[in-house]
Amino acid sequence: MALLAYDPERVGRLRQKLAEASIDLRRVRCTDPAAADAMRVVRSALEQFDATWLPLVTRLLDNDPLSRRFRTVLGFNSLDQSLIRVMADGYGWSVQHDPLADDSAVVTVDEARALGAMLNNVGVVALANDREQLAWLARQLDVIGRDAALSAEFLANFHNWDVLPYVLAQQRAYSYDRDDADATFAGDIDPVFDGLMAIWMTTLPVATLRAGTAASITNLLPPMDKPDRYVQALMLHALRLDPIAMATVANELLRDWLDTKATFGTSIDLQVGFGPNAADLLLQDIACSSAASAAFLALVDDRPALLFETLDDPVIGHQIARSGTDPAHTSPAAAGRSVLSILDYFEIDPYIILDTDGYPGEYGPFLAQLVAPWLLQFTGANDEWAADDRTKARLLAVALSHEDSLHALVAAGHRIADGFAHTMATSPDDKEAVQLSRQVGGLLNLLGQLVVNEHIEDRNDQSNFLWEITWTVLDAASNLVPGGAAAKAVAGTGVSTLEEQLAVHFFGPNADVVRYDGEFSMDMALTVSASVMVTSLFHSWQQAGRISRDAVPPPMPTTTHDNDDTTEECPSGQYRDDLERWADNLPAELGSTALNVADNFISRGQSEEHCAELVHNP
Amino acid sequence: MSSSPDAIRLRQRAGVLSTLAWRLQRVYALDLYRFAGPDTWVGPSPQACADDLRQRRNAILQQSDTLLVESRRLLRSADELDARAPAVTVPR
Repeated sequence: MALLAYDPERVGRLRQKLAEASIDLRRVRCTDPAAADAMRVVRSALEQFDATWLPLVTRLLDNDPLSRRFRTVLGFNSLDQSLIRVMADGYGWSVQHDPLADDSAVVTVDEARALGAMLNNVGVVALANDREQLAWLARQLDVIGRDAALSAEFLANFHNWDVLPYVLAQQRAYSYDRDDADATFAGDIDPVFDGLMAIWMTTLPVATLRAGTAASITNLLPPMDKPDRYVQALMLHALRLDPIAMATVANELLRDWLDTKATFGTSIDLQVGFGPNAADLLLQDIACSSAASAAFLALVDDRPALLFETLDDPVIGHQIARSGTDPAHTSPAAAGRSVLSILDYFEIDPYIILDTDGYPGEYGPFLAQLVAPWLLQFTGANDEWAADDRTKARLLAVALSHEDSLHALVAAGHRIADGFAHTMATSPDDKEAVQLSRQVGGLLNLLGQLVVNEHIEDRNDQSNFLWEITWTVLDAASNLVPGGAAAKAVAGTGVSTLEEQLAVHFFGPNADVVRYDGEFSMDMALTVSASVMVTSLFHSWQQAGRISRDAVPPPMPTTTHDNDDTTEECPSGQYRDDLERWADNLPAELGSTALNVADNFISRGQSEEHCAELVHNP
Repeated sequence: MSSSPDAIRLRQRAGVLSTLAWRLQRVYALDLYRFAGPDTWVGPSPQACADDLRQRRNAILQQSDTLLVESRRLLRSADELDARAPAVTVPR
């Protein structure tokens, strides 16, 4: 029910002036055709005065004002009657029904002022629980926020930054623990925050809003006494900052919380264990931008806990970490700092520490996905990351320390291939092919050691995983084989054929000789890998005309292993013999290159070492 | 120099229009908005009333301007008619 407030004396004067104007307009006459439009305007005004405004003011003056009791019944205290209440209570004006409904899309300067003043004294808890009033308020704030002059009038009268946002935020947080259909939820409250911050934003210099890495909470939010971080997060979220600026202030807010929570026992969720907390609100805005994710990771390299001990929803943190270290959007060096820092953080399961906040989620698969594009950087043959070989091997072991991590790595073939493509040149020459094989061979050796040494509940999985990851890596590497697309196609066919032929060696091992089969599987995997790479190289030479089409192809690994037959118990031994004989018949330069490539997977020395171990530990 | 009957009619019409324009600039309705502002009343209807009174004021003043322009145009037409008419010698 709309109300109007009025000064009876002034309304009386208005009625007199309207009546005089009406009489005056009746006296205006003209029949000249050129005056037709003018006379239409005069008649229209006259009709409006006589039919609408004079009856309205007459009715106001003839009727008694509403009593205080009736005002209350009619919602006089509701927020949308702010101006009426100010004029009635503050200036002694009379109040009556207004025959016109209010148009919430129009806000006058007076209404903006009155709304600002009313929000200082309104019953905030009642407001926070009133869906209709919140919707009305959000519309009004939205209209005001679009107009700098209205915003200035509102802000000149509104001083309730300490209470109103806090109570609204509290209602928002509690709403996640309710299933009451009548209760207000985030969808009712967030538009009010949007409106308030749109108004506040009109006071901020453009340079502050686009401050990027120089953004700060103090510069962006209105002054508040001991502000709560959840409230601040809602306000920052409502400012719709650019993602880099959001990364900067999110780091500031969450770092400050981690620094002080132990001392002051503060929270970032208003002590409500349900629904998104401050970190979820802020980091969700960052997760949707690779640039912002990379910027945030760079800021928290020294303290990954900011990402993993703050979020109620761990998936957001995983998304930021993956997106921020995506090779398409960040440099190897920057990704290296972030990836190594995160792995170092997870070396001791952070979630077994009792006072760790946040939820762990399935972080094993996440770590595998994190390292997938950067596997080559973990090898000793790659020096893009500023870490020694032992550290890199240790941290890769952290990433793959769970069975579900190993399976996730196998499933992340496309991420591995993307990483290879960003690290190595496509269609490399012989020299680059040797470099590729050095890194891929180093990686398979590293993964083989990790898998063989890994504690895996079901020992069958050890061989299976080694088999699967070998082909995943070889598939990724086959995109980079020398000789271009044609050689790649031939190599791909060869890989598939070999995969079928050799599968028997990786499945169904005897449970009593697990260690033996683990070692055997690793030897076979490296031998197969060497064979695939040498075969690819051979095809590239044929494509380039460097070797005749009918040249003898390189040897394949022997595939006749049986646990009961120890004559073929060391695949690499036989393969090395065959390979060296084959290389002797090539031109010297090609033979040397082929052996170099094979050495990076299974050198003569490694082969002898493996064979000795396999013979002595049957 | 004498004027043709047509020119005389045009000048008469010009006079009527300019008089109406002058009158419209002085109607009481032009000042009404000053009595209907937020120092008198507030609410949806008062706001609509104040807005309406301002719009009608603008419309009336615009019509006044249009009438003055038309009046001047009629005067120019009358002058052109007189200029084209043959010189007439008035007998003594």
